Amino acid sequence: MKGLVRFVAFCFIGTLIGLITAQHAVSGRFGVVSETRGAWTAWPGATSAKVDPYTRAHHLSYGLVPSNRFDTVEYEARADDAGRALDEDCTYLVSGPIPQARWWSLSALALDDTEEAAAGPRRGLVSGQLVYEADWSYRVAVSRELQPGNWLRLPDGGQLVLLMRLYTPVSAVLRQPLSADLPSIERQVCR
Amino acid sequence: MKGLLFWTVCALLLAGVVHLGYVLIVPQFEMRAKIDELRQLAGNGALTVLSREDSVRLMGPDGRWLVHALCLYDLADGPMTINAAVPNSYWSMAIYSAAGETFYSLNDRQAGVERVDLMIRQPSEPVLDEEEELVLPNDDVFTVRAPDPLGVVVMRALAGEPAEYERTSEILARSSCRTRTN
Repeated sequence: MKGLVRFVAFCFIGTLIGLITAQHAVSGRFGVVSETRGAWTAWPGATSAKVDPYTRAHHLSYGLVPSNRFDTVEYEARADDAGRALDEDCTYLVSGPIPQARWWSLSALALDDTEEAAAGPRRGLVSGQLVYEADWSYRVAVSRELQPGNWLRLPDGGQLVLLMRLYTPVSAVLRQPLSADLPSIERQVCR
Repeated sequence: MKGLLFWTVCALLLAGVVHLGYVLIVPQFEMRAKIDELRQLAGNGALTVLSREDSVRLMGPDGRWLVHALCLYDLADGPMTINAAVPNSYWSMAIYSAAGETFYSLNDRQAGVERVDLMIRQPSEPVLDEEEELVLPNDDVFTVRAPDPLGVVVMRALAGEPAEYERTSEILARSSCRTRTN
């Protein structure tokens, strides 16, 4: 009886360790196959000739058909520049120079979004629709509340992620995704 | 003490197996489930242009301004030929295996043409290297060898303004996918 209890306990512990380490590796928290600069994380293996299993698993983990890895580079941010997790009750300023790509998009997601919520208005912006500054940099206010200028609406809750995609970037960015000009994410005010 | 060490080693081995199983196998199941979902929507061997709502739901947030057209293939029935009508602005075509691997891609700058003819061949046919596959052969048909018999072709075209979405959808809808039977 004691042996059976031990067997069940160690099976449970082994399975739990396996699942937790796999989920952390796939989400990029171990930094084994992902790279981080500032608030942004990229999976450099995604644009290489042979994609590693962790990167492939990551790009399938949202339950979506992955983007075209030969043509698109993807970045995720789950925290601001100070390392604080994105909070639905805060307003953020995302700003930076135009990235070295033909066009690009910025979206706000929650990992447990319903399909209706994910498709909601102002949850994504595309470079051609933005208003730019005189020096061709851009500023996007990310908040649940209506903001003047470029406004990206935050989801109402859940684990928040900002997703930036560069389409047809220059070849240096395809080779080294974190060499791109990525925007800063500054927390402004919280309710 | 010896027993505890034995069970700890067993638990760590099991953790390793579960870890690898999760990373290697679960994504493949997810992609196959996604292909089944797409098949219900688009059928097999025919081109389907997704609505904006389906684009966002299946392809992600950029479905708001990227028009998506799908073509699911099963090479067991024969090679698949795709005749793609493409807009003047940005477009790309990616071919995914059933395991979720993007094994071929083409965009407007690489193709440089207004219509694209592409043939996907059976996995058993000889391998061409990447360079060879990107070169247009004499009959102007791009050819590519798929790693699996099952997969999906996804065409994406940019409709940067809301008014362009319908027009871009109409252009992609002039494309076709057919199984070539001899």
